[in-house]
Amino acid sequence: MKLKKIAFLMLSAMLTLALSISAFAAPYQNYTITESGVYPEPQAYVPDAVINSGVIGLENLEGVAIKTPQDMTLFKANGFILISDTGNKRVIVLDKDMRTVKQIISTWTKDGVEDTFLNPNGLFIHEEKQLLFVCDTDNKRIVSFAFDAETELFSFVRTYDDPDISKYFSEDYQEGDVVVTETPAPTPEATPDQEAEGDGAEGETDGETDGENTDGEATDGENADTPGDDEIEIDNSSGSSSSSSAQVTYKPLKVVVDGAMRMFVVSKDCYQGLVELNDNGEFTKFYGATRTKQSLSALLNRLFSAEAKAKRQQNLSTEYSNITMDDNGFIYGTISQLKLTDLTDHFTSKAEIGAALRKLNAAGSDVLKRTGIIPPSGDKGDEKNRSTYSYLCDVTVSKNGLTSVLDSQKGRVFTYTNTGELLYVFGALGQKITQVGEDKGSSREEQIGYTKGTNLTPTAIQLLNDDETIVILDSQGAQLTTYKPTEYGLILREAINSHEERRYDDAVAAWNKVLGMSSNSALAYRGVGKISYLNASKYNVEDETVEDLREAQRTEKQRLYLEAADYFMKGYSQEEYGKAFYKYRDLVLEGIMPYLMWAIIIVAVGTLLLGWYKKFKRFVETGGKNQ
Amino acid sequence: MEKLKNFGTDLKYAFHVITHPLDGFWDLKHEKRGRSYIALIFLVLYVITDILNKQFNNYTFNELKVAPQDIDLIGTFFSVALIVGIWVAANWGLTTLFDGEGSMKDIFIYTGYSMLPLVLSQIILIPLTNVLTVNEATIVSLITVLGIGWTAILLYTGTMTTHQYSGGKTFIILLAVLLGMVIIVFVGVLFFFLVQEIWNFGFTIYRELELRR
Repeated sequence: MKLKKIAFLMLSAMLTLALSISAFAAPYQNYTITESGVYPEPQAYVPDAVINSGVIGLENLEGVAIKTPQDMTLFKANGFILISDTGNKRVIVLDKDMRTVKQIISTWTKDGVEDTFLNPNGLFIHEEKQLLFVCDTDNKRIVSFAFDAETELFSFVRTYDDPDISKYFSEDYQEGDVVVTETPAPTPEATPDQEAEGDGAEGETDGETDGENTDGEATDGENADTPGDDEIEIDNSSGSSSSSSAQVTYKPLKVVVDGAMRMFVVSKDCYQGLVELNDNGEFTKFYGATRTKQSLSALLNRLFSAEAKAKRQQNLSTEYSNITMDDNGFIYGTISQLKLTDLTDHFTSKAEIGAALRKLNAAGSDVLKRTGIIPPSGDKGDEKNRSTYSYLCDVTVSKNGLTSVLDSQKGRVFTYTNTGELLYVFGALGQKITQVGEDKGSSREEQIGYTKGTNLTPTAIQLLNDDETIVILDSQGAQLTTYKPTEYGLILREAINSHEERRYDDAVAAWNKVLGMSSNSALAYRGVGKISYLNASKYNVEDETVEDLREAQRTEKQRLYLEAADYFMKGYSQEEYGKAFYKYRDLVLEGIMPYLMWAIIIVAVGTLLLGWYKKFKRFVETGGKNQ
Repeated sequence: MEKLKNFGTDLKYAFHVITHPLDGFWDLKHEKRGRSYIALIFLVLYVITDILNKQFNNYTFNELKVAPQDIDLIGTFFSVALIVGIWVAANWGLTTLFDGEGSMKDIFIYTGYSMLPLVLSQIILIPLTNVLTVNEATIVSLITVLGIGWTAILLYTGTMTTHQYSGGKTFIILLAVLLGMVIIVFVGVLFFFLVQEIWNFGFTIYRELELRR
């Protein structure tokens, strides 16, 4: 408790400090979160440009400024940026420079009739097929558009209408009696051991996405178990209660589409997970439902009391707030409305329940690695106050697995490595300044009325420019803010990326530069430690035939393991230290074993001889009388 | 030279006590073999080995190794002294009421001698943790548990022999002593706050008087 308070004070003190120097840098401070609190780090990202209706010339073009935009996406093939201008029922296509409008999609003809959006929200670009998918939320459908490379324009293809998901809740479920257990997700592990083996370990996870979706979840009645076993974790994919099933409506908010044109849709207030549709827009199943925790007593109560049955609706799974898909086809989902108790559990035990960020494999289980000091779920807050934790609303993943999540509550962006270690934090919420636009001569940013680099209600995040620039979409402020990495940020990214791409020498150089800028960076120490460990494990001492070379290699291997152990200790990683030390100890033992054996033999033989000698002496002294 | 030799025999006798507790504790009291300075040395040694453990045990078993600023020599010393002091006081207070034969000095001596296994286990752990790895963590916990268990057995036997109790009575008395320790702490804290209140009261009157002068 006390530590948390200190952490809080430090954080607030830091923020005040950051605000006071905002004239020079950014209106926030980068920090790292450890067990004992929050520590400041050098800035990793600073605001670069603000793009609003004025900058892109929208006011001149159609006379309508962007209003409450909800989502944004990048067309990687040509760098176009698409914004769903929800308030104006249209989708805006921006050129690569983010200054000119390429196209505004608002009307099209479908079967000879003019058609429009009603609250368009989530956008998804299918890079391979060059298709755009738009979640037309209040029309309960998804609209797809094809991109024409010649004219560089999107044209209407088809709509995927309401799959009527409510009919998939049969009468069986309405009692809320059926409990379906999910097979537990494989626990993600990242040990130096696995990383040392390198190639093999990564191939495995990639393979999983390619495989067919065989592990279907029990969404229809046949597979359901009856309750009564002491199952604590329940899966809500099987419908929840009589009241909710009747009201299930399909309101697509966000969508991703995989290589086989399967669509995964976040539907509003749909607690059963993602809605999976086939390439024709027909319902297949619910996918990747989050789990809820239920105490044994509550479960027993539910069996006996009607009241408790009615109350069960409160124990629903949490819905996804946003999803994205990485290059390997894994779906990353953020969950915003988590319960405080689940979150505190998650932060203390890294339990899967309460995780605000999930990475789903083809079977719909969470395979996100959480090896960092704290799990990748945003801020570690105070256990009494939900609002001190994060409300994650969007996620974006780079090709090397750097995962950035956006916290709508505090406007912060947390970036994690692909093993779930926190790299850096940036971003802040802005406050509207009331005296706006009095001075017409002032620049656009000042007219918007809040500090550059802050957002009023951040809703979407996207990586640009080879994953280097991060852009945040501010709904209330109706603008985009791009953030560019500082030198520190660039070096950190370089370190991570070169480690990922197996350029270990570059990675060590980069980590050392990081240490030069932030001398206590546990992350950097662990980074160097991992590389020492990898280098050490490369030596195959036994394969060496020349005796002298073998000895030299053993010494070198031993030295590298000890070095790795030392770095892990500086990086406060007891587990990894233990592994490196174990390898080191074994090598030392191996080295001294022959001598050790000799020493034991000599001592044993010596004692024996000494005993005989004493006996013999006594024999001589007593003249053999006592024998 | 004579003194040194005596010291050597006294120290050696402690090892006899911990290996033959029934006989040893009897002799400590009745044969006057117990030395309070030896008991004191063991207590001090316990504090020292505890600090050494935190400082030099391998990081695999010792998180404090990376946070040496959290190691508190003076704090450890006083907390051990306080706990032993309260233990002796509660023990003596209760056993005199229930026909215990041990004096306060006797209690202190057998407590000190009982600490020896703890000290030994901690001394063994320093080199051992620097050789063992996570896979052999059970050995480390085994030695720790052995040290604590042995000391607990010695404290039990010591109480039994010194006060000449039966086994069952010793058990009950020990529980009562633990309860007594809690009560002493409670009363102590209460007393501390009371004194603070009185001091504040007196100080307020003094301020009042001074201001009205």
